[in-house]
Amino acid sequence: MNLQVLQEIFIKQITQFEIDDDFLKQLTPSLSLSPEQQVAVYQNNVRGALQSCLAQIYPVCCTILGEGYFKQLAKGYIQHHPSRHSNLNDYGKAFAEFVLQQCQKRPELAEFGYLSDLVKLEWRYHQVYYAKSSPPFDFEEFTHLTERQQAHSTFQLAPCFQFMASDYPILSIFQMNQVSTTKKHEAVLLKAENVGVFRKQNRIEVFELEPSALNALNLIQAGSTLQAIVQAKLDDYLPQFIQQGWIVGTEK
Amino acid sequence: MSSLSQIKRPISGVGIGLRSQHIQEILTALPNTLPNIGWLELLADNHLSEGGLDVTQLDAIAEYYPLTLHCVGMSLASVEPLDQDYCRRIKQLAKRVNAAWISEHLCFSAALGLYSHDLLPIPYNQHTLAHCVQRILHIQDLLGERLLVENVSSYMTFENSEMSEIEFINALAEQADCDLLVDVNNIYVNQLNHGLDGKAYIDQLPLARIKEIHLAGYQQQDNFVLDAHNNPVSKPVWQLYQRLIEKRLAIPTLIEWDNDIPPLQVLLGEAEKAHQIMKNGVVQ
Repeated sequence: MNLQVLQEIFIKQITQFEIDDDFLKQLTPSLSLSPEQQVAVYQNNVRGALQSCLAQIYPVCCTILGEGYFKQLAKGYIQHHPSRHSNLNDYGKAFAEFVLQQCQKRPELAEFGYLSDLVKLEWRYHQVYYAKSSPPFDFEEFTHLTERQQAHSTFQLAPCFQFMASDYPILSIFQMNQVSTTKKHEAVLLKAENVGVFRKQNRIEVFELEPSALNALNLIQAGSTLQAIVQAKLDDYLPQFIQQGWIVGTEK
Repeated sequence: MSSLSQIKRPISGVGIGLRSQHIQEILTALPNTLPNIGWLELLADNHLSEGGLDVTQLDAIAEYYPLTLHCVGMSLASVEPLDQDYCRRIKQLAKRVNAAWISEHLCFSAALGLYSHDLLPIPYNQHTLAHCVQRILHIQDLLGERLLVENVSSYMTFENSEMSEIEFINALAEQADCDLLVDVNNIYVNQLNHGLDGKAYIDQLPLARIKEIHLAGYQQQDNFVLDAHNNPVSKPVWQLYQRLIEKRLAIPTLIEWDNDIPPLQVLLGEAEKAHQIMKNGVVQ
């Protein structure tokens, strides 16, 4: 077996959790491990690294479900989603979708309807943590545009700003289950909460967005022009978004 | 960045691996540096994002500590095309934090676009050697500097290995003209798992090429030992370390601790032990 074939079979076995008999024939027993056990060590290492990675990205989900159950859930995700990036920070993007499916399949998760939205929020928090910083909005450049150019401008949101809509009190759940919180036993208000996540200097802020602000942000993210935002009567938000650093540029 | 960080600062004495759990404590102490800690090592792969909190913290730390970069993603022995973007980002990070050197493991970690995020062993034979030599030469060209290559712990032995690990490493260092990072715990883990002679391994190392030593703790499993980096350095590892230090004093030495990370004081205690051996040549 040449080096390329050996590496390909090796990686498939440990990321897709299979055993290949031809590969086992390439191994010699060590002092204490049979060829099957040798492969199992690496399978466990891979699974453990990805479980730890998911637990770090989704600490609130892990707190709510308990470490044992979270690990079990993560194991199922890892089985179907091997890592395809050298950077572990990119792993786990599809976890929200997986959790949504699991909530529909597993009776014990039926009461956790909000869990997928919580996972989405934690992914946004993770993205904001590692996002590139942007220079502030260039007012001078904007004022040099003609009125027509301004009307047809679209706006760029800062990479270190993310937002989401939810039908659940997702911000309250997120805040009440922080390791450092003292509010754990407070009752959750049963209202939907839309959430913004923004990194300001060295601090990440997670906050509620009012419905009309969410509508304005949705228009901006969809590439709507200033003219369209004015027509929707949501342009009052623009100076506020720029001042807060959520909008960092325009495209003509 | 200040002018301090424009000149590469020498690495000497004992260092510790910089872990996120300790960053705030280290930042708070600045401009004072930790006692007996000559330098810090970054797990480079954790710091490759272009923005974020980590980068600003690193900039502050790089002002006061000499830094080295330790990588896990180059996949030195992989037959996949080299990830040139990864190498470019490593080079940028090294420039940003003014890293004294860059190290990577003798293993592969990816194939078929699948990433293990683990250090996967290779058969030690002439074909693998030739492949690794070419790959390291290419990487060194891209980085514009010599790479430090580290021996790994392994839990697998291949039928088509033709030489011992130390024979392979000696040939590799010579042919690729690279430097070495000797992980003494990995030697001992392989001694326990595969029966290699740790003392003989140490005695055969090409001393002039060793730029750094790693020390860490392993974890006993049912029927093997795992290089878990979650325990203090074991006594047999300190003894192997002493054997190496006696041959060539003052090789920069790093305490690695990656899992179940203890308070910073525990790492400093381990660093102090290494410091004493370096100074007095005695395992306490």
